[in-house]
Amino acid sequence: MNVTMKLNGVAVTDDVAPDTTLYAFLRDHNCKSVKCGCETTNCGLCTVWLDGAPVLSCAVLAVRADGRSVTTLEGLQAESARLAQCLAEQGAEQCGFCSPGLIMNVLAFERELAGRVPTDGEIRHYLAGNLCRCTGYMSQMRAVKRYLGCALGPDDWQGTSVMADVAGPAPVAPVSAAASGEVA
Amino acid sequence: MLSMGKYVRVGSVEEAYELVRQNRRACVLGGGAWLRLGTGTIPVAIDLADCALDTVEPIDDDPVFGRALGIGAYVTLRQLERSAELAAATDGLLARAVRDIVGVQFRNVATVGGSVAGRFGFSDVCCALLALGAHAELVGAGRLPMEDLLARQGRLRDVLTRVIVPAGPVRASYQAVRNQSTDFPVASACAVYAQGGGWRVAVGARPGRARLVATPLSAEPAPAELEALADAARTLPFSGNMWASERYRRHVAGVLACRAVEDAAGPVRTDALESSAEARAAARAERGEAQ
Repeated sequence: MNVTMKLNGVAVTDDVAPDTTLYAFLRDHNCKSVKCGCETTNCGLCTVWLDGAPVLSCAVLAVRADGRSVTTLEGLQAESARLAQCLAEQGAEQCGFCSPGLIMNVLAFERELAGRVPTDGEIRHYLAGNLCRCTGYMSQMRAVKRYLGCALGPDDWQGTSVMADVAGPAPVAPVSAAASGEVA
Repeated sequence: MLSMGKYVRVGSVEEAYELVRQNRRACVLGGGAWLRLGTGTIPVAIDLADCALDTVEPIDDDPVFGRALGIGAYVTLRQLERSAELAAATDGLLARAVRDIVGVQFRNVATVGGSVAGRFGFSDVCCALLALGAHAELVGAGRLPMEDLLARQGRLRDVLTRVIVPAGPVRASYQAVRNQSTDFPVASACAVYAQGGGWRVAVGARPGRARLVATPLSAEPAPAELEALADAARTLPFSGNMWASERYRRHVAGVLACRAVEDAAGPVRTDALESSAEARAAARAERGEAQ
């Protein structure tokens, strides 16, 4: 079947089988940021925007994207730069495999918020469908909170930011257990 | 992954019904959220995407409910979650029922029609709609109350077009236990109280399809009534599977049914948008318990 969609602003036409997923279509059209991390349609790695709404591209038929607009991380390079920097600064990327899906969903969330600062509960709820096998989510929460302008609490490591106009704290020399007087 | 022989994007629901009647194995597509978990081949996949079934519309002269809301079969679970009209009509119930289903990206795909026509036992949507006393509109079978639709045996060979929900006002609560926060529920219960209509309490994820609990309840049920409700909920058929045992489900269903009624009967509503963990923490703080 012939489908035509606007992919990252550019019209793309191709012939697809009816059971081709949007995920497979996008990978075939050089959108390699779109990844598959599960076999059960729940990991969030394949998140793209369909007419601006974040969807799991592995659960959308390519034929259903016919005549619609699809956005992947490849089409949001400038918009995603600051979030990517926040993630890097907070150590929120380890293997990095889940990052494109997470970034797509955070940016969709940011657009829905329209400038409003969300609560921790709202962030967790919106990002519940983005699984990460390495970070334990704490560093991602710090990065997303910082990115969305949330006040960081005493338990949130403030870190140093290359974006901030202030110098970070002086590096602290590592202290061995023996030197600090601790007994194993 | 389900594979497809032929894909037909129909122009009307009647055309879809004709195709379903012509081919026993033809299948109407929902959102597609379970495509990858399916196996086998659908010889004819019918897409209703062009049938304008993706809106929630107010109905002023419904023959059964009077004022009601019509939810198109292709309305996504995320639309259900964000609809201000549905929130007002259902005391925010539908948003609370779907909020833990996988994630936002999944709920932007999965549809009300897919959930209702699929009649999945684990369906939070079916459990909530059953307690609300909603009706389903199908080309073929006509209009059916949710309890009749869920009780039907065999594969549905009709085309679901709309779910009709009375416009309220109601007091409602949805309770579910999940092994992980976005997993299927291992037990769920939903209570709805309508002025003049009394209580409707449904228990889902038994793991069979949601069923109503038949027990009389006053507007502000006394402890003895709640005990009778728990006992009645536990008389429903339950069974075990990889998520939970039959014994566990039976016990928890009774607890959740009571909790749903107590929550719906109480005057205070927790903010539907806050996470349940935060609500629990706040409740603990209010009671002066240590965090």
